Amino acid sequence: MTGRPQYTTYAALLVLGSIALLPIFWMISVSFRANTEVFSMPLSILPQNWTLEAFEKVFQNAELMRLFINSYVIALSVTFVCLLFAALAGYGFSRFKFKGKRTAITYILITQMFPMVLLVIPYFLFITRVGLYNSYFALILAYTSFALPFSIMMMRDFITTIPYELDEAAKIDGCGPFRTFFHIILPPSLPGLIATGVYTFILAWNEFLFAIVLTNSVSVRPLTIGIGMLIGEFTTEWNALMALSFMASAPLIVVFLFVQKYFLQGLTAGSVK
Amino acid sequence: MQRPIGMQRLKKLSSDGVRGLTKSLPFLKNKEEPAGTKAKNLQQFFVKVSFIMPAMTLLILLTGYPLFQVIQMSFYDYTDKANPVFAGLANYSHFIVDPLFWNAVKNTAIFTFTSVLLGLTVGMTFALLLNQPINSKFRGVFRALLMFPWLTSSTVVAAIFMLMFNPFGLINYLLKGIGLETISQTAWLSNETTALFAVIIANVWRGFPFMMLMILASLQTISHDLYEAADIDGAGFFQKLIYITIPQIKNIILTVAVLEFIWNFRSFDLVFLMTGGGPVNSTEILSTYVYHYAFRTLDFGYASATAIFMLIIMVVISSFYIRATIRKERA
Repeated sequence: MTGRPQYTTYAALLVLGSIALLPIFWMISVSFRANTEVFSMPLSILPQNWTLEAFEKVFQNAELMRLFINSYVIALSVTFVCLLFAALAGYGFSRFKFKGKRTAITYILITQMFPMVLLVIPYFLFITRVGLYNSYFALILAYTSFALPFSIMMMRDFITTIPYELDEAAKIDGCGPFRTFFHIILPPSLPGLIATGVYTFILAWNEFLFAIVLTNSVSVRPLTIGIGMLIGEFTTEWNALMALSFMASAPLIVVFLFVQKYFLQGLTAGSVK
Repeated sequence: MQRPIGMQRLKKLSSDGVRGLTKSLPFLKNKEEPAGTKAKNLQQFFVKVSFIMPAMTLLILLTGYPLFQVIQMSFYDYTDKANPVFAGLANYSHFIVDPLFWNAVKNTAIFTFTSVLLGLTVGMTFALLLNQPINSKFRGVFRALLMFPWLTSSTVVAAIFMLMFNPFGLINYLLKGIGLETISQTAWLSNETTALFAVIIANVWRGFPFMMLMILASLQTISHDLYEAADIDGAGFFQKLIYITIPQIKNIILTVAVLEFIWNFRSFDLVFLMTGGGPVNSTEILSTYVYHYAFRTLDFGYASATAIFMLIIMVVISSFYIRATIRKERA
């Protein structure tokens, strides 16, 4: 704390921060009111009658509950696959020089630029041809295609921040590259793994386009589709829609709060020197 | 193949043996790596590459092959879905003359550049505020709270903002509250002139926390000495901002702007859910245009050609970013 107290900073943060968080606040506020109260003028910032009606509606809907399970299965699988491949590749890219490395990195960067609508066309045709239409596997494959490039780059950036001396010490002690990776590099990479994992999970949990194109039944569709359909079908049930949105966002927010420190550290590792 | 592998094993065994020896006799260490024979080099190459091979193979199967297919499809006519006919550049020459395509290009440009600029401004403002010498607990809590929009899925963002932009929704209510009676009658999402703007607001709301986070992390690396020196010279807040802060974080701003450009340029969900490209194509962007042709008209050839066009624009505009990233690479 230097200089005069930062009253203006606090004031500005509180005012601008409230504006920025208003949509979230509004979502929560609407989810606790009866549907008749959603547009009743004058709007009150807090519900006049707190009710769990909207949440009951969501919980009683077995189809929506099924979507939650689907989202977890898909997002966790994608996270696992991406972490496994990205940790190995991140180590390889961070530590070794070899022929073709630049080409490989360029390729990864370009895949990050693929428009989703570009990939979704061949995926649709391929997935229907091999009979995987409307399966978890189809979505896991599709999500890996856009989550993996980011995961690789994040892991590489993180592992680059681990001192190279560790590798050298391990080498002197007679560790081969694989043992070095598993015993020496992986443990201090934990924050990077957490950050990458959480990021991948968020990407997969929030995806919409592939899900709507590659699936058509409640048995495999993720939650985002459920919300999308509620938007399209009966826009009158705003309180249920907000309750579902709240419940869909809560897992990510809870996970984020728990691993915040590692997540922020891992996310900014590569780009900030 | 049989022989080299056998040799490698032999080499490995013997070098393991030597390594075991050098542990106890450090002065022998120099002999550990015999001068680079071919087999040894090849073995090393395989060891190194084996780390990246699984990921790269998967990535090429998941992205390279589909890309190849899209390129191929973009040269075919899909009028008869079962038997596409080779059509040369017909798909390309068709969309080039479609006024709706250029309308989508225009909207995409507006959507992308406004989103990036607004997002940078908001993100930068919060980053600068959070970088002030305030209570660190307060800063931590605020930073976490302000990340929430970034964590919500685009479907949730669409739902929230459709509710708020409803003619009887919160935004109009607040506008009325501050005395803007006429504007407060707007049906934001079903009005041709305001729909794109409303979607951009929702998009910026979701995107700014990432920029805030990156810029804040970068601000925290700036040395305090610079500011102290500026204070001694009597520089004001804006002078410090322009002459110290911005030059110091120029690179991160550029990186974040490019990433945001990429993400916004290919963005699909918000427009699709909030307006579906309407009213009267006023929010149609390239990705909804492609989606429409691929999955409504089922004209895969035409959709592929436009998607390729998107990819080319994207790669061209961000090519300097690719080059900069590659240059840092130790080949």
